[in-house]
Amino acid sequence: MTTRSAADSRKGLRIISPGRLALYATLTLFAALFILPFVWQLGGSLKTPAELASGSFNLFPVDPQWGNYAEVFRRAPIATWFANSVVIAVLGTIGATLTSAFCAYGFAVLRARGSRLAFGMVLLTILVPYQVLIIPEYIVWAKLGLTNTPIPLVLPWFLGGGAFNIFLMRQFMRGLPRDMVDAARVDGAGELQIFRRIILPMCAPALAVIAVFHFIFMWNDFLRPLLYLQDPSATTLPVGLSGFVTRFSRQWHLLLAGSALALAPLVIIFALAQRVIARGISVVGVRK
Amino acid sequence: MSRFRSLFAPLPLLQRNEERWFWLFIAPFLAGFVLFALLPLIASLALSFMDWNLRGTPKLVGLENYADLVNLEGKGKLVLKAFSNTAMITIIAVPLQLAVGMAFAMLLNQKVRGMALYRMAFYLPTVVSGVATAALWTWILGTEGLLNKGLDLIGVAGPAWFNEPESVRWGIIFMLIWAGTGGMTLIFLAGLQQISKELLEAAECDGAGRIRRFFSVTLPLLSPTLFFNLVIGLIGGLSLFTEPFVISGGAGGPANESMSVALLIYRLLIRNLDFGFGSAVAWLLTIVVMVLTVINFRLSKRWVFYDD
Repeated sequence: MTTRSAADSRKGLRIISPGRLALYATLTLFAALFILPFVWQLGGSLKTPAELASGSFNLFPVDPQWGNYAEVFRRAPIATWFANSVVIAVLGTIGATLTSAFCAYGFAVLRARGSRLAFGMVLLTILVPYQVLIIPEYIVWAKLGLTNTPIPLVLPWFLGGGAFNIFLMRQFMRGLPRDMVDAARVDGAGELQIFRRIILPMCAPALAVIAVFHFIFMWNDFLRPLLYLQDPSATTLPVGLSGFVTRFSRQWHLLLAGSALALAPLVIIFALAQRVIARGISVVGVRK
Repeated sequence: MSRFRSLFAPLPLLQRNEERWFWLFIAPFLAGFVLFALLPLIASLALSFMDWNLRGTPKLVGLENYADLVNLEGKGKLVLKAFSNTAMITIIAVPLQLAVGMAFAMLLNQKVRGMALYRMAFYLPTVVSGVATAALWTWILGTEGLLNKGLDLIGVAGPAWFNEPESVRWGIIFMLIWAGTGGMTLIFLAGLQQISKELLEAAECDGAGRIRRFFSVTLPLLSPTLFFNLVIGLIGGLSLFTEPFVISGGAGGPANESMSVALLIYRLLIRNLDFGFGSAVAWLLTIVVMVLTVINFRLSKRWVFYDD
């Protein structure tokens, strides 16, 4: 291992080969292509309507119009949508993270007849397309008078936390050493105690992965809030924003400023949780 | 028979205690499963044999909704359109996402400096995908959008991507590739990093060239990852909703060319309050997804290679 890393650092000092140069050029080109739309957007959100229509390729305007953002806030209840999005995403993430770990403990640690059957149900739930459930679920929430509240969006995540999350947590817990659980049992610890004091702390990396991914999922979720939060004062940022496309169809500066506001929290989370995300993906990708 | 008996045979006290805890721990999941999966599934099956629009009482109509489904002169026409649009977009976008994602992963796997930066660049569109990026793309792919301005420079007149029936699905495919490739890249990269260097070096010693090494070593060892990405990609493609909704203002236009199955179900529910027919469409989608998944898993036994 040491010899290899020594060889690597020596390689770094050498003059770069044409092959490597081509590799970096290709990667940089494509990375730029993937990022460019965001840069355009940011620049575009600061332009005047006339400048946007003029068709200049300037990424950033000479005279940035910060007023575009103020205008978006004036023309639409962005702050309310933003607050709704935060409340729903945070509550849903807490629910999904905690209850998926709780249920996964049952599947990963406790032995019982019927365990395989119950886990089969978890796998089956992953495969059921959400679209088949929306009609009856919508009818029930509407009849209960709970539409335009966060409950239909948040409550389901407190009941199991999503089949895929249970699946991931179980995989992770099965990789933990079992003897600590057995030792704790011998010492007379109850299952709830073992879960809270021993397993949960050891699962911190997996919990972080699930929390980050679930927050991103909740923040971007569109179909559910679109169904359940039709009242403009109760809805989330993506749903509110989707109306911009038709409402501001000729007012690109407002559309771009609005979508930049929706992207901002995700970009921040992404930057802060980069390592967690990268680790999460390798866990998801390697152990199916 | 012996299995049956074991289910009811008395258990030692400790084991029985553990069983009780098991059911307690998975109780939230069971409650969620019954309330938010099993019952809605049964309810939507029942609704698919009924006619109901929230007012009055549901009326049993037998197979009428399913007859409508296959009546291509009437209601079935739009259903067929939605399924064929969704299929076309999925069949073109998913293989492209897989190919581009794998290519990027192979590039990134060559001990690149500044890996974190590249990884972030490719993955950012996946993280922020949804309404905000779809809105952004309506601008880039607009009549006087950036893409067309670029095409103007090389003397090509681009279409009004999302406003013309011929190009709207291509615009969506373009968006999906941009947004979906990054996630696949990172999953492929994780898979590639699991492949032992020794195996590749051994193949090289045996005189296998780059191409041979890719097809004989890398690809078989990467096949579980490829399969995972394929399944995820297909499910994502078949549940396509946000992009067509945003670019068409929820209408599935122009000329229903961007109508996806999920969007159609939404419209039947919210706009038409046609719960019975909507449920029939939803069940058709479920059956399609289930059948495809089973076929996928069956076929995977022939080409997916698990070394453990």
